[in-house]
Amino acid sequence: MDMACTFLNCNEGSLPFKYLGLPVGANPSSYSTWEPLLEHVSTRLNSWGNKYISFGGRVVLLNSVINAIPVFYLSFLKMPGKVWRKLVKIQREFLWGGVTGGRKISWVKWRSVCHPKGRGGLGVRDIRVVNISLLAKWRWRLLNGENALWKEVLIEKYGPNACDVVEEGGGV
Amino acid sequence: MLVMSWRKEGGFRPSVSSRWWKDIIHIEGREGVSWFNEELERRVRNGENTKFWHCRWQGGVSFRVKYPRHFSMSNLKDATVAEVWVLNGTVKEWSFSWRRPFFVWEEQLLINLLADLEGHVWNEGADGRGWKREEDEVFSVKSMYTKLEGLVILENRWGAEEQIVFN
Repeated sequence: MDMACTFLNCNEGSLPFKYLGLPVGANPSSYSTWEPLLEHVSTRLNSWGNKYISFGGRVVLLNSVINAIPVFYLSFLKMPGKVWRKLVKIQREFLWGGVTGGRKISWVKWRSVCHPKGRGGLGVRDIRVVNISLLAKWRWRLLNGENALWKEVLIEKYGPNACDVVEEGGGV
Repeated sequence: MLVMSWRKEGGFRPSVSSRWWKDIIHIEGREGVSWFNEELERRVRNGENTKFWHCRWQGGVSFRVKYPRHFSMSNLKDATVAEVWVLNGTVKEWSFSWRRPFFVWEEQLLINLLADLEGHVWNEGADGRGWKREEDEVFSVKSMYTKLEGLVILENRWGAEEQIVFN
């Protein structure tokens, strides 16, 4: 390997590394994979620029921030429960406490906040459901024929009916 | 390159599946409500990709499950729809091959089966799947979210349902 490296004049890398913004080879169920994301969300929400935003504005901001930053991660990796709780905590504290932070009273439980507006909620998206919905899209793409390289790789690895396994719950 | 190296390592069913693959496979949870699959519907066009007995392509269950007796008597258990539905003169007909002649009561069941198949039309193009929640039958994350929202957020039924979705 060393010889190949010197010959090609390049460095030997190791997993996990970042490619196109996503961690490759990282374990999605480990907390550390998600730390940069949590950091990012938290700094974006708690920047001083958001200091004088009204409650309604914070709701809008919550949705736009979670729609923007983590969606890339969430469209590929399944979020562990611990990360979800942490994210909700950041969101909740921002919603009720604002940028100044500190523990404020949350007047309504988070699940109600996540109800759609028509049903008496604030229309904030539940990030866990967002995650699962995004992952479901992979299933759809597996089942619906487009011939992509990533599918060929999966078929080579998991067998010719890999794509159909997803349907009908395992048995054909 | 990648494809080649995997093949060399000993073919299918690797003992180690990637985490991502497991997550996708088991996204519905290992048992219970199939909140994803129940929104899928097979669209049979030329029938070449659809197994007549095994796939769910007419109604909610496969014909293997709905007509187990006929399935066990069929000589073409793995046939595709295209193979069973053949051109006879100018019209397409269902041509099954049975192991033995029918008893009288089985005839009646066969009539039911044929009634289920009534009105099947042949279409140009490969078989695919449709997504019931969208008009254009193409999956959308939004429709999925709306469905899951109904399942786990609105109904106040976390606990059991939550287990199903987030296992």
